[in-house]
Amino acid sequence: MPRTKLNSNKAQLSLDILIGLTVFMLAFVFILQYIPSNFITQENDVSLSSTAYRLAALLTESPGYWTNGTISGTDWENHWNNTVIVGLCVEDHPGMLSLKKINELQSKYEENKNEFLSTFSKMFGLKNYNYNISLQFPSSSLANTIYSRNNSGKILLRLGKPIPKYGNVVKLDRIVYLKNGLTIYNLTGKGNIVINATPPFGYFAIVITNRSVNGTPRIKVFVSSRFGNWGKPVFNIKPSKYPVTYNITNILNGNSTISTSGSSYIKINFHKYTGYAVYTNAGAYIAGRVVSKLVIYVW
Amino acid sequence: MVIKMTDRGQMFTLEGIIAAVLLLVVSYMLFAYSPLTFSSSSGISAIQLKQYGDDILRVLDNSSSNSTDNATLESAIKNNNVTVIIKEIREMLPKDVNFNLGIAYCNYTNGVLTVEKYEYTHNIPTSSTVTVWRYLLFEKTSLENNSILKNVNVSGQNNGESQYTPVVVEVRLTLWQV
Repeated sequence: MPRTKLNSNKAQLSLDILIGLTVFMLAFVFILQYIPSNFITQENDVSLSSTAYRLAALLTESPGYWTNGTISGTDWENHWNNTVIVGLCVEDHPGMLSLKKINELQSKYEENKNEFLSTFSKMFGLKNYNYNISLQFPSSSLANTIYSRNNSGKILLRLGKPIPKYGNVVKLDRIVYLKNGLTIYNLTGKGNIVINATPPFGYFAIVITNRSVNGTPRIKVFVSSRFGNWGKPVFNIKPSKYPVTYNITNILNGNSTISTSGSSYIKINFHKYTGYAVYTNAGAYIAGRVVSKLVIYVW
Repeated sequence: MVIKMTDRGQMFTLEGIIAAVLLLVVSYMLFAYSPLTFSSSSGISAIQLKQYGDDILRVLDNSSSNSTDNATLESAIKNNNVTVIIKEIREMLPKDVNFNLGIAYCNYTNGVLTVEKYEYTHNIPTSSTVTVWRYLLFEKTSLENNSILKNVNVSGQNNGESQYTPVVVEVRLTLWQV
C-alpha cells in the first residue's frame, strides 16, 4: 500500500463539492422536517389518539358485557369465559369504577399474561397496537409514578407491555373515582388495631363520634417497619369534643419510617370512645370520593 | 480568474463512501431514536384537556356526600366558598395545566332577563383554552345568605319569588396548558 504524503494537496474538497453538499443537506433536512410530519407522523398520531380515547372511554364509561347466547349481563367479572367486552364502571355510573371488576381484570392478566393480552386485544380491536393500562394517584407522573393499591398493598391495576423509551407513544388520562374505595376499621371501646399498609396514603383519618361512659378518651398512633417495634407515638391526643375528625394523612406520609420502607405497620391504640379509622392508598380523597387516574399508553 | 481542470481537490472514493454511510447512519438515527412523544406534537391535546375537565366536574358534583366542608361543587357554591374546590381541582390536574372556575346563571335585572357570570379565579391563559361545563340545580331556600345566587330573580316577578324557586347554574371550568 503506498504511503500518503502529508504535504500533498491532492484529494481536497473543492468549492463545488462544498456547495453541492450544503444544498443537498438543506434539501435533506427540509424533506426530513416536512414529509414525515405532514404525511406519516400525524396520521399515526391520530390513529393512536383515537385508539387510546376509545379504550379509555369503554373502560371508564361502560360496565362491560357478557352473553352465552341465551342469557347476558354486565357482570362479566363472574362470566369471564363468555365475556364479550370488559368495562370497569359501575352500571349507570360512568366514571365510578368497581373494585371487583378491577381486581378480576388484574387477576386474569396475572394468571396468563399472553393469553389475556390476546383476548383483550381482540375485545378492543387492538391487534395492531401495544398498550399499557394502569390505575394511579391523580398526582402521579411519568417521573414519579404512584400506583393505586388495595388495602393489602397490592397494585390494583397494571397490565400490558412495558412502555418503550423511544418512538411514537400516545398517553391518555381519565380521572375516575372508586366505589367503596375506603377501608374502615371500627374503633369502639378500647384496644389496639394494627394495619399493614403500603404508603403513600391518599387519606388516613380517625373519626370520633362519641365518648364511652366514664373515662377519658385517648388515641395514640404508632408506626413501624417491623411488627412490634413501636417506639414513640406519631400522633397522640385526648379529644375533648365530639364528633371530631383527625386527618393524619400528612403525618403518616411525612414519617421517615413510612417513606423509606415499602410496607409499614400502623398501630392505633384507642381508649374509651366510639368511632372508626378510615384510610385508602388507592387514590386521593376528594369531594367525599376516592379519586384515581386511569392512565393509558398506546403505541 | 481561470480555473484549470486538474485532478486536484477531488474526493477519493473511500471518503465518499464513508460520508454517504455517515449520512445514512445519522438519518436512520434521527428517525428511529426521536424522543418519546406523548399525544400530538403540541403536547397535551384539546381532547385530553376536555376529558380532564369533564371528569373533574363529575367527581366534584357529589350531592350525596356528607361532606360539610365545601368539598363538593354543590356545597361550595351554596356557601360561596370555593377555596377547597380550587385546591381539589389543582390536585387532580397535572402541574402543566392551569384553569379558571366560574359560574353563569340567568337573572332578571330591571325587567330584562340576562345571563350573568361570576369568576372565582382570574388566571390568565397562556395558550388556547378548552371550556367544559356542568349544570347544577338549587332550591333558593337551600342557599346560604352569603351565596351570590341568594338574590337572583329567575322568574321576573316583581313581588319576590318563592324560596323554593329552582335556580339553574352552569359551572364553567376553563383549562389550558402552561
